[in-house]
Amino acid sequence: MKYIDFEVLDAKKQGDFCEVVLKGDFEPSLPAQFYMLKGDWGNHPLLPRPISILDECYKKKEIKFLVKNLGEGSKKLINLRKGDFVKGTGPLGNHFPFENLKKSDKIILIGGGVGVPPLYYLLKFLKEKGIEAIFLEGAKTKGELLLCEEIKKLTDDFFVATEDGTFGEKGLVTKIAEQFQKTADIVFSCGPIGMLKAVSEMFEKEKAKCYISLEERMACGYGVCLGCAVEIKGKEGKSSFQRVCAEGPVFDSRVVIWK
Amino acid sequence: MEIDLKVDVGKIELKNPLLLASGCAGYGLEFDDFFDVSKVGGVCLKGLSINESKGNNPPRIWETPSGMMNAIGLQNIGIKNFLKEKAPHLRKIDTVFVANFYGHKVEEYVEAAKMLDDEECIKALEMNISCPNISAGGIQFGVDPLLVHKVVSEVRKETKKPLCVKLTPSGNIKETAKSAFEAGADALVAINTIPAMAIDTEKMDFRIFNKVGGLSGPAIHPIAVKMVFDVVSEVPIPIIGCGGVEKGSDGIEFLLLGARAFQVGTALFYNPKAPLDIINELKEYLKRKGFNSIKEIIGKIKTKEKEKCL
Ligand SMILES: Cc1cc2nc3c(=O)[nH]c(=O)nc-3n(C[C@H](O)[C@H](O)[C@H](O)COP(=O)(O)OP(=O)(O)OC[C@H]3O[C@@H](n4cnc5c(N)ncnc54)[C@H](O)[C@@H]3O)c2cc1C
Ligand SMILES: Cc1cc2nc3c(=O)[nH]c(=O)nc-3n(C[C@H](O)[C@H](O)[C@H](O)COP(=O)(O)O)c2cc1C
Ligand code: FES
Repeated sequence: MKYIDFEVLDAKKQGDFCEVVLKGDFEPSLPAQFYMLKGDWGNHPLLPRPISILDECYKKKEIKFLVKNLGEGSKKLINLRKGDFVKGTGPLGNHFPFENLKKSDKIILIGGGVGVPPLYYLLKFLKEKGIEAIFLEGAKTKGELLLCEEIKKLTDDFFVATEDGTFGEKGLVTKIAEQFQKTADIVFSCGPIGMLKAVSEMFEKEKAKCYISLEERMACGYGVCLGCAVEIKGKEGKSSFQRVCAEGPVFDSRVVIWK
Repeated sequence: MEIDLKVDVGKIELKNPLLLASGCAGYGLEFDDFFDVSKVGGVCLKGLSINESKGNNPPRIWETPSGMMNAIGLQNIGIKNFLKEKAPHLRKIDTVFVANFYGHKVEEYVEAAKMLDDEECIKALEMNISCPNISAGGIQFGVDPLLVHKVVSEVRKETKKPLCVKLTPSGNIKETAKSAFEAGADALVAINTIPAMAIDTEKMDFRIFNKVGGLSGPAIHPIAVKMVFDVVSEVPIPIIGCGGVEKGSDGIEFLLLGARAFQVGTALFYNPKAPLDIINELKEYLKRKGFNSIKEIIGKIKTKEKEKCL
């Protein structure tokens, strides 16, 4: 990880979302890793915000993020303009364990909201290794679906569910996940906590390994403040708090103790 | 000419007056990717207790205007694990490591201090007295001058190391400072975080699981400056300023009032290189003002004159 001065090369804003391309002297990252990002807006807000890496080109020193406006900090980020400066610390955290996957594995990626970008990044890594994966995406409505065109380019097995039925299957993404419940070997998921919980419950009943990328409020992002705690099962019924920013954000769903 | 940043806090010699604040710098080993830790004057380690401590349920933090609240619950690996796993690495780093520690009873403070006393990499102890005393109905040690006297004097008897007492802004800080001094503290740190609360009006619930959190960051800096002002004129021992330092001039405020060093906490979260920036700003300031040594500015502002009503 490094503390980096980035320059905004491009910022494509669409409604509540913005795809931001930054240039800077960063180190290569892996899927589910993230940066703590803050523009030069002084102390309002004070703390940087954790944002997952969507994609990067290490050679060109370009890195891409997809930000959704959810509050004060993310609003500042989606309003970044070409030429602005951003400070970023990263890449942070662990990553989706994809190194030992086999071509014969049935791999399911399940994403919702701002959980889609890190899964897209994972899909790219899998593609490069020649490994196929099924991608399931859920959203409230058609307008909130993310990265559909990009995902389609990387997999033929792309299924969508919207809660209002404006696109794809009507209902929650877990509804379309059910068909893979028994056959999946490994599941990677990122998105709203309710979705992660439902996905975990569904696949834990069967043989699939299930890895979820969690979110928690963060102050430092690099492991010193202990602000981002998640409760994890330990030995002999004991549990402990681990750091989403350091031991996570990716955890085996079977060890997470849900709030 | 090279600007001299060396200061001493009683018996503790620091290469510069900047210390990393406890709870904001982990176990001193987390900064390698950002800067060389031996460049800072010292590092106050995460608050340690006799046994490891699990910490509070999340959410543990909440951001506020120019600040943040935290209720980590003093999660730490315990002194035994610290001595086994972390201390050997710290011994190789050339800076002053200060062991911050706490307890929930007088005996726990004493035991913790004893356990840390023989570790060579620990150059001083920093007592966090902003903890509830479970033997006395949960009142904070740090707000009651009699309790402060009791716990500090008991610890004093059992440690050879320089003993810093970290004051809480709750209560009458002049009184608690005097008690800590009279009980044998070698230096005082002012201040710890300020008790605060925030409510989520949508969910109609507290923002932090623990309900109360400690406020830190630039928002508390002027309060910390006032408290350092209060304490420097009250006791003859060295004071270390702490609260909301994010740039050189923030630390200089403390020094001008007579503090001999200062700590940087929350700023590390939004600028992991803040210590280097601040040290450079100290040098630039001294150069610009025509001083060769930082000692020349310590206590430049007279604090003895009586305050008028606001
Ligand atoms: C590892 C990680 C990766 C992330 N990746 C992305 C990403 O790629 N794109 C993206 O747009 N967002 C991402 N987020 C979420 C993003 O960090 C939060 O939306 C942002 O911090 C909210 O800050 P704010 O000031 O805009 O909102 P606030 O005003 O602070 O909060 C607005 C709402 O967001 C919720 N919230 C705040 N912080 C977080 C958080 N850290 N996690 C979950 N919910 C939060 C609050 O509870 C509130 O409901 C990620 C979060 C984590 C922890
Ligand atoms: C996340 C966090 C954890 C902290 N943990 C401790 C601790 O373990 N012991 C302690 O004495 N102070 C602790 N503090 C208080 C700081 O050391 C410091 O006194 C306070 O934050 C004010 O300084 P700042 O505004 O520069 O952060 C903690 C502060 C924060 C923000
Ligand atoms: S955000 Fe500070 S430890 Fe994770």
